[in-house]
Amino acid sequence: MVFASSFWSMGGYANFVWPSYFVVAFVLFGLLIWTLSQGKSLKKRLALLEQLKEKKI
Amino acid sequence: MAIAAPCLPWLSAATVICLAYGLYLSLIASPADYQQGETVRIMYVHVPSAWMALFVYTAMAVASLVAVIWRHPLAEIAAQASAPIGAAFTFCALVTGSLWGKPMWGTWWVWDARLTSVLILFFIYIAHMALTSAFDDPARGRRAAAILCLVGFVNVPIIKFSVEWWNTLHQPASVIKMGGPSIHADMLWPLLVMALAFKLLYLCILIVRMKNELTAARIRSLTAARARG
Repeated sequence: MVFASSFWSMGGYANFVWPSYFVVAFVLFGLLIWTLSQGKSLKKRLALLEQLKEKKI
Repeated sequence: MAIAAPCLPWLSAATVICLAYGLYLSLIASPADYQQGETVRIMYVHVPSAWMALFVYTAMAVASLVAVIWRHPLAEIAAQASAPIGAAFTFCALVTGSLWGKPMWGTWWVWDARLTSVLILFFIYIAHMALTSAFDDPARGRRAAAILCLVGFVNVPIIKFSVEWWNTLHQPASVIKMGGPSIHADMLWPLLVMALAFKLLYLCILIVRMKNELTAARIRSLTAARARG
């Protein structure tokens, strides 16, 4: 418990240390999720277009 | 791309392992600084982000040079795919720097050479992204962005040497410098592991973004073919 509370309080600098890690995690993870979801929707559209091409619609 | 795509699962696994180990070292295993206390832990995300901000821009400049000279289409796509990643790292470096500056310097922001030149780098990334998508013909957008990237490269040495050329609150380099690093191994290790993790993450996102761009190009050509009938 002593470790846990001193870990979270960061020697009184919790308000600076944790937001730093949070911002980096949020931005980089957000970029990753955005990129992956973009890829998913692009693949879906391409598959649809190729299907249409095969059927010659 | 034929070589890069099969590497993606391995790269992703390596990124996760490096990131987990890096976070353990930065948040738990490394000591607090005798002057800065626990705020030194901000360094383990701030410095790798700042290194990546410069690294990604340099990679983009090399890709743009290859694109302009040899007209290699993948080089242009690599530069285009890198820009948002570089912007993200630059944003992280600016915000974490500000969060570190407040307790240590007593201010969130100063208009000195290092901070201002990194802010300019962030704007160049944004301009690059805007210019790439400003043309109806994506090839023209990429060409214009390549020129912008090469001109903007002048900012990279300015950022690197700003702490030596001008008076600044920002500390000078302590890792990459003549005579070896002046930082203790207990703090250097977490820094290097986090830097490696960020570099691997960049490669993973870059490969996926390049694949996305190639898919988008295929969609555009199919749509154009359909429009022609």
